[in-house]
Amino acid sequence: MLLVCVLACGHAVTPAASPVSVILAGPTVLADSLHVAATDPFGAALAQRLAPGATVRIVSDRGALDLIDSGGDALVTDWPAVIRYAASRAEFAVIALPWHRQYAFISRHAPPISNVVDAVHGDARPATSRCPLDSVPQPPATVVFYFANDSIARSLAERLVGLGVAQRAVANRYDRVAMESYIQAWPIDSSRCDIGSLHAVPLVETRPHLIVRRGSVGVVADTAGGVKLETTP
Amino acid sequence: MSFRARLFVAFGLIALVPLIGLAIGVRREMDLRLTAQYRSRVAALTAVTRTDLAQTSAAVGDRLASLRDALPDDAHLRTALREASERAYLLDYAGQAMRMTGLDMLQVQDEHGRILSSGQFRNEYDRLDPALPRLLAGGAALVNARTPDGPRLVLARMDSARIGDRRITLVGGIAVDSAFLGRLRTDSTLTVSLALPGDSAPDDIVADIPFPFVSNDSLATARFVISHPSTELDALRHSVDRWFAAAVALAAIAATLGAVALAARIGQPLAALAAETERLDLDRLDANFTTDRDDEIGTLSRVLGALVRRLRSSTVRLREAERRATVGDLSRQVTHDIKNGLAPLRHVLRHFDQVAREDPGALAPVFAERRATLDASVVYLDALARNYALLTPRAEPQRIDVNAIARSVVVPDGIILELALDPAMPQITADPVGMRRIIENIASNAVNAMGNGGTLTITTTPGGQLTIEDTGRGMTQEQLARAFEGPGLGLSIVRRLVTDLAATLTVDTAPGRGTRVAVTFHT
Repeated sequence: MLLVCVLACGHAVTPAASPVSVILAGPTVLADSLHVAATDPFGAALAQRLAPGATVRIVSDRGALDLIDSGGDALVTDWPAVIRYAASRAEFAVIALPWHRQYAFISRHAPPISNVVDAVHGDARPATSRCPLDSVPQPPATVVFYFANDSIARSLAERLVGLGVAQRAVANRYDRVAMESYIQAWPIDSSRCDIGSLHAVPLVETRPHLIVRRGSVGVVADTAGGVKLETTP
Repeated sequence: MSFRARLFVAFGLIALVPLIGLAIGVRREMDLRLTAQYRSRVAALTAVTRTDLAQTSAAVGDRLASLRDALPDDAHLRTALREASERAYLLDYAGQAMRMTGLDMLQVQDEHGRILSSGQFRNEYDRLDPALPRLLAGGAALVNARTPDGPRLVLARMDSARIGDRRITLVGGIAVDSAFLGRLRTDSTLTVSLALPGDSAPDDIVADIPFPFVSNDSLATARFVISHPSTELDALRHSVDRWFAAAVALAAIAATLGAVALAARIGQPLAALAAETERLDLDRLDANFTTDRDDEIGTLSRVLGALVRRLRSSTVRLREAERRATVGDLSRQVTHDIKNGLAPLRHVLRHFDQVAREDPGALAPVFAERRATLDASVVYLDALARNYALLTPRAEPQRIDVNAIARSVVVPDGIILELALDPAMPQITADPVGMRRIIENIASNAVNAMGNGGTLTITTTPGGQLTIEDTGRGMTQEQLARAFEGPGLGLSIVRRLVTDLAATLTVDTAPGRGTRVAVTFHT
């Protein structure tokens, strides 16, 4: 399921038209000559779409900082500390990418949930889609699971605990199928309200940032608002 | 109970009872002293634990105070409190401050009790919890702080600061976990645990320290429980018990050995005395009880020696009396036997005298007729003399014609002798003198019983039975018994001789009815 989601997320931001404006001036380079990285699988898929043919590595938050310090060309991340650090460095440009990911609470019930945006580090906004909610209060879920490597999912799960929607937030690494209450991330245009017998409550939408070393590669925008690195395969 | 067993019991009582008493007393005293020391130590450790808790509480207060002092100087925080765009800073503030101050819980509330920032649970912001600072206003308390993973027990305090026109409340604390309790454990033999209301306390509590506990928006009382597994004290008690058990066992063994040794020391001379005494007999009075011991056993030996000497003297006198009695009996028996042997001679000589006076010419035929009687009497007397010469008559068994001996019986005048001798009477294997003494004694008694007149009937049968019956005065049972009792008397002799031949003697008598004596021989 995760793999499908990753591929779909990448497809959501693929530039679909010819560039109409230059976001960041720079040369056009061979894709495989760029050092491109991302801090999570979502970002990796997106980076792959931004620079087709480039080799994209997934790095940790600390690895992302090291990449900035050691000559990396492009980085896709949603981690605020990394974004702030890159913004503080004059040789890097930080470009906000379109909203592309939605996080939802999946459970047997669909309680009304609000005031969760501040729980997320980085750019986040309330979910733009809506799903049917429970008309009567339901008992909190015993546990809400989240994917262990997804910091946004963890923040949202903890916020649900803070709101009393669930009693505990527990990281899960392997088996999401057997869970009855969990945080799900998917592309905005793939959001749903029902997954089998479970219901989805959309929570927030997020967007990553593209960090580009100035002068290493150009960044252009097309007519659809898509972003692309100026590379040749 | 044997002498040895009594000695063992006595030794056991003497050795073991005082030892067991000593063991119980020492153990009790040791128990009291150890318990007193133990309680003193527990009291000291409890005081230390109280101090540690107070110091921990003070440390939390100090850290909160430093935060309280730093809050008004943080311009970014002032901005975050007013501008929603800086809310992320506000939400992350408690977490960073908590890590910097080394606290495990930090909650920042506004004047309404709304959580502005939470260090241990960033995303519980906006939750209302006004009761917590109010309950902590009186001092430190245990709090179940909320975290995403579940409640976390902390020792918390509160403080407050004023930023502009806003009053900010700080609630901070240190986690009360196993590490915290381990730090309170200042003695390796004690265990410090926490008992919340409703928890079951361990059994081996030696002290407890009550501590406020915030539960369901109210104050309750929890307890820091100091318990002692008692293993050290128990081990000491068990060790002492083992040593005393070993001492009792050794004492028991020593008592046993002592009893055995003493019993042997006392018992062996007694056993020797018993063995020497057991050898004593009227024929063996040579036992030696001489001793040089000067104790009770020596006295007993000397008493026994004197007793043996007196017994020896008495035995000599007794034997002399017995010898004299035996000689008297023998004399009477000899007299009786000789008289029996002389009676036929006397009768024959009277017969000769009568023939010599009345018919001298028939003397020779009569002599020839009665010579056999004379010869038989002489042979009888001769054998009698030879037997007595040997003191103990020697039996010379041979085949005897009982009828022939019966025919030699002579009766005095006035007595009629009737012989009913069956030629089929079998010969009997016996001493001829003894057989003759049997018949002569029975016949003599019968003649005596008949006085001046009567009939003596001698009968033999093919079955080996000899019967001598008289018409005399007969005897009562008492008279019959006496006739058998007196040594040297006729029937007494007869019974002994008949018994020697393994024959059977039967006497049928009654006063006025005569006596019938039957001897049944085994052929």
